[in-house]
Amino acid sequence: MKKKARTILLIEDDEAHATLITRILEEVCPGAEIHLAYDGQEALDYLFHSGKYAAQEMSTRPDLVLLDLRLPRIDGQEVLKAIKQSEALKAIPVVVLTSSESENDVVTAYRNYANSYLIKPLGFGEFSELLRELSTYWLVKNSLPEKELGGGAR
Amino acid sequence: MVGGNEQQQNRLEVSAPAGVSDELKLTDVIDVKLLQQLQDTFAESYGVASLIFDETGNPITKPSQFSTFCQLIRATTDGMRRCEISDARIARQVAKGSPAVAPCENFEEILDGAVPIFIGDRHVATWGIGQRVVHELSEERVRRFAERIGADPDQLVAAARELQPGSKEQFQRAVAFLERVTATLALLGAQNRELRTLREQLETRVEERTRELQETTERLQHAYADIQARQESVLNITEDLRAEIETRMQTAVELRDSERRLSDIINFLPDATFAIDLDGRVIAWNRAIEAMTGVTSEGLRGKVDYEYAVPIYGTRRPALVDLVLRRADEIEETYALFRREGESVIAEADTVIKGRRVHLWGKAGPIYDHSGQKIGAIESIRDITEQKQVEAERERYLKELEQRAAEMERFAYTISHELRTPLITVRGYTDLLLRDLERGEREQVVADLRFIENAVTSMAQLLQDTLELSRTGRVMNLPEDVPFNALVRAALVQLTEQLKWGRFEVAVAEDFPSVHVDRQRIVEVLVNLIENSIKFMGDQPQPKIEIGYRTEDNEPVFFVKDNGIGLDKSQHEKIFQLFYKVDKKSKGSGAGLAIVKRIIEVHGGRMWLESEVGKGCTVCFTLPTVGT
Repeated sequence: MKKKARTILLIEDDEAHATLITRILEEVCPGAEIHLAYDGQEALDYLFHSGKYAAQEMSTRPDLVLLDLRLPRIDGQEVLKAIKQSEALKAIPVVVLTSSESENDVVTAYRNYANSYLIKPLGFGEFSELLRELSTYWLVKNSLPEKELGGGAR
Repeated sequence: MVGGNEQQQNRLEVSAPAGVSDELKLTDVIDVKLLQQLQDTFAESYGVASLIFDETGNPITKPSQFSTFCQLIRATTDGMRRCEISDARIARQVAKGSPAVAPCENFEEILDGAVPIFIGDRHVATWGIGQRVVHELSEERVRRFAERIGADPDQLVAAARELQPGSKEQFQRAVAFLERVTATLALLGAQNRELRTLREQLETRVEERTRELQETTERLQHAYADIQARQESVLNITEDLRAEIETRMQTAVELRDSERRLSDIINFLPDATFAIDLDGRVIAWNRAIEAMTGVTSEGLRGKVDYEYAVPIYGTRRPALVDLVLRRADEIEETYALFRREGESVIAEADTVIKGRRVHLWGKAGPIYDHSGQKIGAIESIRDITEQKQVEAERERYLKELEQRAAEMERFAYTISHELRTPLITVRGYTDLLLRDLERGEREQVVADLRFIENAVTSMAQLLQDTLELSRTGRVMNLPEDVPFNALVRAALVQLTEQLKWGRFEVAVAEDFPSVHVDRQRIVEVLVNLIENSIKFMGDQPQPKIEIGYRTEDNEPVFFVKDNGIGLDKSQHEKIFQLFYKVDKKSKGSGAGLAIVKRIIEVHGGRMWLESEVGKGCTVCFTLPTVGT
C-alpha cells in the first residue's frame, strides 16, 4: 500500500518537551514529517502561509496538529480558534497536547472545536505509549479528509 | 209713743265680718234661757207682759207675765184674731226699725209695744211688751167684749179687776228701757257672737296652726331623723375616710420606697438609661447617661420639647422613647436599624456626642401603672462604636482571609499545575537518558541531562517564587509618605547598566504626587515593570520607556509604558497569573508580575495592562496618595 508520508505540526514552546515528543514520534511513527513551531504566531504563519512562511514552498498542510495550550504571545486556545474558524484549515484535526489538567481548559478547547484533548503523562513509558496510540489512531486508523487537505507541495 | 230718733241707737254697729250677720238668729247670739230670764225679770219689774219673737213673728221665748185677761181673750178665736191684728200692726212698724207703741186693737186702754232687735242691719227679733192697762176698764165693756168673742164674761171681768193700771209714761219708760236693754243685749249678743266667731276663727286658726305646727313638727322630725341618719353616715364616711387616708399614707410611703428603689435601680444600671412621662418630661436620667452625655438630671428637670434629645442627637427631635408612645415613620427612617418587638422598639443610629462620632444601640419600651395604663416610656442606650469598629475590622479580616484562602487554593492549584511541566521533562528524560546511555549516544546524553537540569532548576525557582509570593502581603514595612519621584529614581538607579546598554530613552514625569507606601516594595514593583519593558522591547529601533501618571475619576493612575512588542489581548489577564511566562526562554520565573500585582493590591491599589500586539505595552496601577 502506498502511503503518503504524514506531516505533523507540533506547536510546543518548551524545548525539552518539543525534543522529547519529536524523538518519541520518530520512533513510533517512522516516516512522519514533524514540523515544529515554538509559539502561536509562528504556527499561524506556517499554516496561513504568512509572516516568514509567506512563500508557499516552505510550508505544507499538516495531516495532524499537536497543540500545546500554554504558548507565549498568542494563547493556544486562540490558535485553536484561528484554525477551526478558518475555512481553509478547519478540516485539519487538532489534538491538544498539554500538561494542563484544568477542566476549564478542556471545556474551552472542545468549545473551540478541538478534535481531542490529551494530557502529557508523567513518565517516558507512558508518554511513548500515548504518542504511539495517538499516531496510530489519527494517522493509520483514522480516515483523513484527503481532498480537503490536498497534497501539499514539498 | 217712743220717738223714731232713737232708731240709730238700736242699730248695732258691730263690726262683724261679712259672713257672720247672714242668716243670723237672736238665739245664735244669746242663749235662749238667758233671754227668757231677762224677759221674765223685765216683765215682772215693769209689770208688763213680754214675749220675744223672731223676724218671722214666731215666738222665741215663752210669754212672761201674760195677764189672765189677755190669756182669756187669746184663748178665743176671735179674740186671738184681733190681738193678731194689733200684733201685726206693731210688727210692721217695728220692721221699719223703730220701736212701736200702740194701743191694743181690742181695748185702747191697753198698750202694746215692741222693740226691734237688729244686729248690724239685720232685724233678727222683736221684743214685745204689752198688755199695759193705762186706764181702768169698765166692767160693762169687758162683759160686752167677752160675749163678743165667746169668752166667759165673769172670768174676764174678774181678770180685768186683777189688772193693775199704770201710766203711759211708765210704759214708755219701759219701752225706752227695753230699747236700751235690747240694744245692749244685741250688742252683747253680737259681741258674744263675734267672740264666738272669733273664737271659732281662732279655733280654726289654732287648728290650722296646730296642723301646720304638726306638719312642721313632723317635718322637723323627719328632718331631724334625716340629719341623724346623715350624721351617722357622715360618721361612717369619716371613719372610712380615716381608714382611707391611713391606707393612702401607707401606700404613699410604699410608693416612695418603691420609687426610691426604682430610682436606685435605674441609677445603678450600667447602660445609659432615661425615662419620660406622657408629656415628654424626663422622669429618670441615670448616672450612666449623665456620664455619656455630660448633661445632668438637674439640667433636664421639668424641661419639655424633646430637651433630652439635644445631647444625643444635637437637636430637638423625637427619640426612640417617643416612638414607643406613637408611630412616626419619618423618624423611624432616620435610624440605621429599626425594628419593633412587641411594645418595644430597638434601633441603631450614628450620631455625634460630646464631639465624638459614635454608633449607638438603643432599646425603648413603655412604662405602665398598676392598672395597665401607659404612663411613659423608658430607653436604654449603648455606645457600640467600638464594637462596630471591631466588627467592621473583623469583617475586613474575614474578607481578606477569604481572599487569601481563595488565592491559596489558586496558588496550590497553580503550583501543582506548574510543577507538572518540569516533572514531565524530568520523568520523560530520565528513561530516555538511560536508553541513550545504553546506545552510547554521548551527545544525546549530555543534551538529555541539560534538559533535566533545566527542569529541576525551574522547579527550584518555582519553590522560591512560591515562598516569596506567600511572603508578600505578610511581610511589609509600615507605609510612609514618599514622593513617587523618589521611588522612580531609586528603581532607575538599579537598572542603569541595562538601560544604558540597550540605549533606552527614559522619560519620567515631573509632578508626581506623594504616596503612602512601603518604599522598598514599590521600588521592587517599578524595577520589575521596567525590566519587563526592557525584556519585551523586541526589535524596536528607538526603544523608549515612559514612567508617568494620569488622573482618572479624581485619582492618579501611575504607569510604565514602553513601545515594545506588545501583548495580545488574550494574554492581558493571564500575564498576572502566577508563573505565567510570556517568553518561556526568558530568565527568571513568571512569578514577577503576580508578585508585583499582589504588592499593589496589598497597598489597596489596582493594576492592569493596556497593550496590543506590536504597539507597546502600558502597565497601569493605583496607590494610596498622601491625604487620603
